[in-house]
Amino acid sequence: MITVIQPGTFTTVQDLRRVGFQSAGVPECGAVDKFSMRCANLLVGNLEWEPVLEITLFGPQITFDNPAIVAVTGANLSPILDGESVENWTSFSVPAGGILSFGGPVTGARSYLSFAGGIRSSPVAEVMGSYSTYVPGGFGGFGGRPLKAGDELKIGEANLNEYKQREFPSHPQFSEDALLRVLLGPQDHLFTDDSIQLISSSDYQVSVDSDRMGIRLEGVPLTHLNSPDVVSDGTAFGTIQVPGSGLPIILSADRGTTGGYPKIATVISADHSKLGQLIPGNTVRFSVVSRKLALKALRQQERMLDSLRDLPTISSVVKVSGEIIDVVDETGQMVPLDGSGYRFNASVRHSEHVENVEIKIED
Amino acid sequence: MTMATESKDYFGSYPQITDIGDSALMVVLGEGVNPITNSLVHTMVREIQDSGWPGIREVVPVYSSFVVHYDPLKLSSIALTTFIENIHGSVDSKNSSGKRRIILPTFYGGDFGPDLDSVEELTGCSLEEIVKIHSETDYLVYALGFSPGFPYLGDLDSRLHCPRLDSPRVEVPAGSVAIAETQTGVYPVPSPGGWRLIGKTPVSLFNPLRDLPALLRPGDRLRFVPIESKEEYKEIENRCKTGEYVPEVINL
Repeated sequence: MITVIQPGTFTTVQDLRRVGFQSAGVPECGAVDKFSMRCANLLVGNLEWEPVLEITLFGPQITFDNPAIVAVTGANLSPILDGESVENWTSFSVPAGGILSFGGPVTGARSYLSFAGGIRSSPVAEVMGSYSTYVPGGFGGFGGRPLKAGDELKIGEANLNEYKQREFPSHPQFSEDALLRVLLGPQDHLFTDDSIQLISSSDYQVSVDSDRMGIRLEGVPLTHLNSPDVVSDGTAFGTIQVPGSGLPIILSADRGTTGGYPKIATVISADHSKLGQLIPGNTVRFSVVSRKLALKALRQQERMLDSLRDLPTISSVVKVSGEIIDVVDETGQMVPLDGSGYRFNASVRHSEHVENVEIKIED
Repeated sequence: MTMATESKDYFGSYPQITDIGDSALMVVLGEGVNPITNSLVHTMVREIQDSGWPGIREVVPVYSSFVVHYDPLKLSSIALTTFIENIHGSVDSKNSSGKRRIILPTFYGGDFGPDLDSVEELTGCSLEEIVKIHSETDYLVYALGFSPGFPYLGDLDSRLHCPRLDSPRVEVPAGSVAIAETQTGVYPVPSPGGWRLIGKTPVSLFNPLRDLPALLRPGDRLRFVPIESKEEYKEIENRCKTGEYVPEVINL
């Protein structure tokens, strides 16, 4: 059991995301910086989608009834255990009666606090298949709200005898100037050519009105070719929508499932972590990249997590049909081939004939 | 002529499939807001959901388009695009399976419809006429969005068109039935709103703790049926709370 002495600015329970309810108008929610969140779980030996605490800017003060193994990742909010600084991106043990607190933000916006064995059951509830808190809707996580002083959460029991400290030396660095890589679209054709130039050449400042729904930006307004309204359509994490004011809004975890403003570009998955760490006053620049580069960057980021995983070997099957090559791993899932740098053993089937080969895909 | 050729001719250069970043595709099936395109959206969305293709996270339909969220480490944009184009080529756009009509009992006027007086003034219709016109049509649920469970409904009869409130309410109670401009809607959860409130339903449109949290599904038809008295409203409300009352669902 842990008890919240002070809740901090905005501390909520979040897992990876809520899947399957956007068609009912329910936002996907989940950790804003999923990379840091998954890393926090892997550092304490959890499955990477276990619920954690998402801590925003000024962190909480928490007491532990029993010994625990925890990790703090993401923003550096100056974690302190019993009066002594502790390292970010490293797992550490907390003695019974230990007090974890945070001294204040140094870099980034959101820290992730994971507990070996996860956050366990009541009053933290799984709603629509996810532990993520959706504060505007008042559901998920701890009673659908941010933590308050006096809240008690049951966490997994730690086996200190088997505990091996883990660290993540290749962790990302967050700075006050973020370069976010984007793919243009889906509605870049609704903007003037000048606006397309502007989005990749001008600096934008993160507004104080930013939250888990989206990052509002201030700077040079972009110009729509026609009306700033489109027939409402779907949105994605990282989509940059531009309302009538011309000032871009980057949509985040709690974004509405539908939107009626043109979307000029979308931040690539590999940079969602940086997006989640922006604070008001930070500078944002955009750089337009290709889908190929976006996927390469995402694979590189995933490989960084591999150092924290015990990976099984993948035996793969390659189906050759016409010009399209589908590679399917043993679970039946497609391994995309329009990226680069993949190498694995595979069996190739030409109708009747099956041949084992090693496949290596490079740039 | 086969159905597939017909729908291809009809929908011209659609589908338009565009990347939304590296892990979602926007699939546009037509322009603007119309029931035929919307029906094709829901048919295709069901086919894709039922396909069980690995790597597809979820499919989100709106008016004339839908978004497919996928895991780019498991599924490529190119393979997914081909898959969607194939479904578009083979789908029977007149397939109406899974279509339902939901009956929503609604009390019009009184303190549940505080803007009914202004609607009478603005439209020149009497209370009885407003109730009759509003409750005599099926409204197509084009999509759910804006807030959890909120239905984007088909067109309101032009006789009831009237502007939004000059200043929006800070909180509209859950269950409120409202109209504004060419639209009508129901607020599933309390939220701010600038539409004119004409009535209220005791039925809960959204409950996060239900197996199916949203009462309505995209593609449904919604019919408002007037509740005659406050007593009847209270009775239905109480039976909703105990779970005894389930709104009528007619499979079409």
